[in-house]
Amino acid sequence: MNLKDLKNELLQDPKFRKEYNKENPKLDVALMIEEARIVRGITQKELAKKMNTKQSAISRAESGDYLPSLSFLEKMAKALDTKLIMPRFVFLEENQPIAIDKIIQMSPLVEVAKILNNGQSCLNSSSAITKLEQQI
Amino acid sequence: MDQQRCNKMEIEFGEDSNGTKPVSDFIKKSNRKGSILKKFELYEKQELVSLLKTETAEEFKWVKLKYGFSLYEFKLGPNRFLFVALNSWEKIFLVHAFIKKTDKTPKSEINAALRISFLLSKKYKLR
Repeated sequence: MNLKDLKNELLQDPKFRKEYNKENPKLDVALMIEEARIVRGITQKELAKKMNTKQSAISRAESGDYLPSLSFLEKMAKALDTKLIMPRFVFLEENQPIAIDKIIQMSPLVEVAKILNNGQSCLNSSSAITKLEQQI
Repeated sequence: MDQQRCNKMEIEFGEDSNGTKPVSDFIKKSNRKGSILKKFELYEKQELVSLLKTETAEEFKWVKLKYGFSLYEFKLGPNRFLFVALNSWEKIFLVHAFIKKTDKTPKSEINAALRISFLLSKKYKLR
């Protein structure tokens, strides 16, 4: 019996499946830190020294019981010679089309369209272009 | 902590003569099985035996002397796992798990681990 067999057996239990699949930031961050440290091939003590902190702080961060602060993670990223990807709210990513619309609104082409439309702003970029073409 | 890598590492559960697997039973009973499982998966993915702690510790020296294979221990939170490994490190067999209470690994826990390790040593070449 290996690890996969145990995992499959445990996942039969719906309660466990829910717990296992649920996002757990504390554990996910802990696993990320440990994996990064393993990939870099350094010990907790060495990492602690680079970050100017104690080995116990690294151990605590890897335990999954506490969520380390962002400034701690940034310090760690620096010590590991890498960068931290900042967390972001999902809706900011989902609303990207609106953001693009705003950029178009600010573009010189739209400014021209505005003038041609007698000062009315044109939200729809394609209609702005067709209107421009007509005018020309 | 010693850091050692090999090309492949698989974590298996050692089986007692009566068919029970003490470590998988231990994990099933634990109330943090999710995090234990995820940590194990990480170790398997990174093909890592950095888990090693105590081949050199006093309590483990006599095992190697007496039986010709090493017993290793690693920590995961308050839990301690004892395991033996194939010569190539391709596989490790978890043979015993317990919750840490004293600084020194108790002899009773080592003996429990040895019973299964001994069965495995007949079948496999352990390091």
